[in-house]
Amino acid sequence: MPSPIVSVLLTVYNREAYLSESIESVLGQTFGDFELVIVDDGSTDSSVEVARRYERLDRRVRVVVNPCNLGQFPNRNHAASLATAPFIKFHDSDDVMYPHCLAVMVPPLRNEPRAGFGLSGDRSWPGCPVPTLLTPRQAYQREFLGFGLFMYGPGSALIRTDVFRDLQGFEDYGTPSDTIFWMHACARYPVLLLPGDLFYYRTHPGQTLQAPGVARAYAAVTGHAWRALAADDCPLSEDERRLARRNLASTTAKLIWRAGRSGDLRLAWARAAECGISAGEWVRYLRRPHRSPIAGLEPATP
Amino acid sequence: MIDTTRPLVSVLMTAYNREAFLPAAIESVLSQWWTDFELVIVDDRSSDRTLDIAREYARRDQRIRVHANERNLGDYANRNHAASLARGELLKFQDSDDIMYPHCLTVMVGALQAEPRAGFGLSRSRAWPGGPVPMFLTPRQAYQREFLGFGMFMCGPAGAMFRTEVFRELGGFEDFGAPSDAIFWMRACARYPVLLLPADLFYYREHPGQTLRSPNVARQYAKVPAHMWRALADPACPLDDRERAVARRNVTFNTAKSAWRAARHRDFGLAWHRVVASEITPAEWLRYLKPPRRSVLAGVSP
Repeated sequence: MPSPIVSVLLTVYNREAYLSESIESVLGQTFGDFELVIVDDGSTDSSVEVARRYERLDRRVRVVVNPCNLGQFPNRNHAASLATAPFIKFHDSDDVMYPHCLAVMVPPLRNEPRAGFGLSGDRSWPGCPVPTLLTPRQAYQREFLGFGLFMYGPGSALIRTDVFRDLQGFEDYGTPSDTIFWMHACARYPVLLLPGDLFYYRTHPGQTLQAPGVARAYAAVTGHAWRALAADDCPLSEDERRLARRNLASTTAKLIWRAGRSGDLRLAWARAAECGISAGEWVRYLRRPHRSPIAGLEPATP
Repeated sequence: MIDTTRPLVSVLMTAYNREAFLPAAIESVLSQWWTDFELVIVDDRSSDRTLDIAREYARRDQRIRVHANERNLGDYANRNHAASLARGELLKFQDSDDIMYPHCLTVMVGALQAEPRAGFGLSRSRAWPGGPVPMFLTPRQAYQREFLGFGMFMCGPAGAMFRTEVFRELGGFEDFGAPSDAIFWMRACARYPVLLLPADLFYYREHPGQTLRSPNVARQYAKVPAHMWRALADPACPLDDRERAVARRNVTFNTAKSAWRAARHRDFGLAWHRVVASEITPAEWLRYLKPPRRSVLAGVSP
């Protein structure tokens, strides 16, 4: 059997309530040339039985059960190592892909070989029709000088398998591992903006983002961004970096202030300690933010 | 050869002096995955090359019909005129400065065909909260979303796909200038169930020449609260008494806020106009001006 175009990677941990709907939304795609790799991370409920049922019904489905629990992002990397297709699409076990999801994502990425991956949010990308290719510099301009690009989950991307492997997958920083991954990936590869709202992102009490401690994990994101802006491969110009630091310092100060005002002094402290901004840098960069909705839209200035 | 078969969809493109954007708008329709449509282009007496461009495309693709108005009708009157020329069972307005993404019609048609109870479907630039789409809303749920939730009537005509008979039965758009669409949804959703559709199906181009940028638009929008107030007092209002009281509170608060905003920008004429045009009486101001109560769960099925 020839290898499929897309490997849909579904990582599961105790999701019997939503798993059937999630799998069926993949099998109901109008783009049929995929394999669905379901990797169970040691569920204690009936998730594996549910997955096996579909494996028996549809030969595009492959179920793998981990001998020990890897955790969310290491399990995503493990799933990616099992992919046989040139493109990978993470699909969460509690989400629902709309039938046109793969059909919308795959052709633009195939037609734009310069892009390492495509990104789709829950809304339209402002300022341009899609698909639109962003250079690393434009991606960083959108994130740091505009209104953001890196806040979406793994399910929002279609990634070239060799690019994902070249980037060595997600580094595990807990919940914000995706944001930190986009930050590294967009510095190295052009990204293709895709139409939005291609799947239903379910919010429910059992999901990781609702777990306590997530706010603490996110406190580390500023530190990563601060380092990315100082890194040799940062695609922004000197002036842009200065502005980006200003915006980041302002956002961080606001978050520290908010945590303090709601009485969570430990969180406020964690945010201050983990942001990586030194006292001298606070003095230098704590100014009014300056963001523009058209950042990353204009052709790069020489 | 005369094609006597009826297309399923009539795409209605009203155009007035849009030579710069028209070719991209037309080509985005011709490259839809869904091919069973007619494209009706109605020129509202353009003084530029709009009509020539439209006729040039009509020569090349027999799905295109071009009509030239004998006199200028204006935006919404021309939309109604275009709808009167439609032969399809479903109507889709496509603006002459927008770009439909290739999956647009496929997604809208499929959902509306699968839900015969819905009079029309609505899509916007961001995902609808509260569940996977397509999501069927009764008139009461639609009103709950608009008045007790975070709004749903701020969609342009191109966000909708109508059953032709429903659009005609409703008598088309009443012309209130720029907010004619919002006022139409208010009336339509009281009478027909609506289907919420996936978002970001077309690129809504923002440019200096468009109607929404004209200076008297803010004054036209100032009349929307009066329409809401009347809709809430109408016997056909699908909300119960308690919900109507909360809805009036929310409308009053928003009106006060927008008047306050205008005053803060030192546009006292607009601020006063917003208060007066709302038609809220002094007694009603006293009774209803309280902090708003809105919930993300309003209009979401249990």
